[in-house]
Amino acid sequence: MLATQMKRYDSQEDPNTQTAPSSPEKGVPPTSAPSNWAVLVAQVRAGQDEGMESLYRLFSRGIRYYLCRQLGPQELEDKVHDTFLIVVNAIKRGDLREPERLMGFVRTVVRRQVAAYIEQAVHTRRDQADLESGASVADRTQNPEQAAILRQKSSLMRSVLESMSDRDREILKRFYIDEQSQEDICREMALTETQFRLLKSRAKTKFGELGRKRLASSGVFPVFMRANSG
Amino acid sequence: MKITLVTHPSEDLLEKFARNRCNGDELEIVETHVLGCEICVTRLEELDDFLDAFQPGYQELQLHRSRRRPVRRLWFHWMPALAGAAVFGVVLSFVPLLSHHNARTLLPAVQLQLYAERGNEAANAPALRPLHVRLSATDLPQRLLSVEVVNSVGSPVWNGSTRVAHDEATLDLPAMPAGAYFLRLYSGPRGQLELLREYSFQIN
Repeated sequence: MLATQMKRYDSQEDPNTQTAPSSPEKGVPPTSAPSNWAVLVAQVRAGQDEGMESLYRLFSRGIRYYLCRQLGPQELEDKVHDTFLIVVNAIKRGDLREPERLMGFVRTVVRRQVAAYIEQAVHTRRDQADLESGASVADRTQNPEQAAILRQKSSLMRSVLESMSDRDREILKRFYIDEQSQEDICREMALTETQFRLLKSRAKTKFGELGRKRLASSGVFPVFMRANSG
Repeated sequence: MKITLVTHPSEDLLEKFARNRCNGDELEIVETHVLGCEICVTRLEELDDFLDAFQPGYQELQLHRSRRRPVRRLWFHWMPALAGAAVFGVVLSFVPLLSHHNARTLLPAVQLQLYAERGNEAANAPALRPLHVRLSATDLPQRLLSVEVVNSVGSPVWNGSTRVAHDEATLDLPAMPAGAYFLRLYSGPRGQLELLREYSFQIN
């Protein structure tokens, strides 16, 4: 089953060449990940700068995204750097016995790092609670600026949704709000699986395009547009 | 550097990952891939942006529409309107009757001859028709007399006057509903009336 969920591509491109992602119905372009893990691991183990650079270029963005997703943006750069150092040191020590499993190895390291950060945060909270019981309750409410930004953003997105067709909005609502299964949506809206995929993809694209236009015209574009993780 | 077969997760699988719906096997596949694939990181960031924007936007839309929707009234808030409708309905139900009444009042008056002697059967007249009444006024003073019509329980339903001439008096009565009535003739000044004669008639 999982095999069918992965799209296969043969690529003869330079591994560091980045290709802009296209829309899903057109297919996903080849990845830039190198496959000659043995060479890369050997270079890192030998302490060669080329290998270190390739390793950092390969994993830094993914690690940054993963850590940001799991732990939030606080001290993100430090955590990325720490994780990278752990991977490099582990490779140098020879902990990675099968170079072709480099990606799985990095994942294990990153997951352990996430668990360690969470455990550390738990300990810190507990220790602080012991010292000053009741004084360390964090205020999780938004500050006035954040609340205003969220209100403006929600209002913009509402106007975007209002400008979409009823069917597009209905499909997105059923899937992302009601969390109906694809089969249920197809049955209740009399759609084939292909129609559903196409309509959902187009609705998402339309929502994104309209949203970008509204944000750009609202003058708050830089606030809402994500440059990258964190 | 040798390039081998590389795979990307499908859009559905990435979407499941973005929405935290992956099972263990799926999670391992996506996480392992995403850590080393900038393209899929970009795709995930776009998905995250969409989800971050769509859900609050849709909630805002629902809220906005609920504000625009007229306030839902409880049942007792509709009582004045219901009462008005009921009154209107009652009025409407009387329209045929009133029309009938008007039609009847426009009809020519019924002639009704009344006598005051005992033993005579009560005179009859149709309901809801104006009456032109002729009274036998033998032995009554030939002058203007007061007239009172009462129903079967003695309540006055009409007052007027008539002049007696040649042992007879006439008067016009409006249409009345069915029932037993008594017509009384009085003489004398107001406050000192003297009953001279009483007639009875039946409206059917």
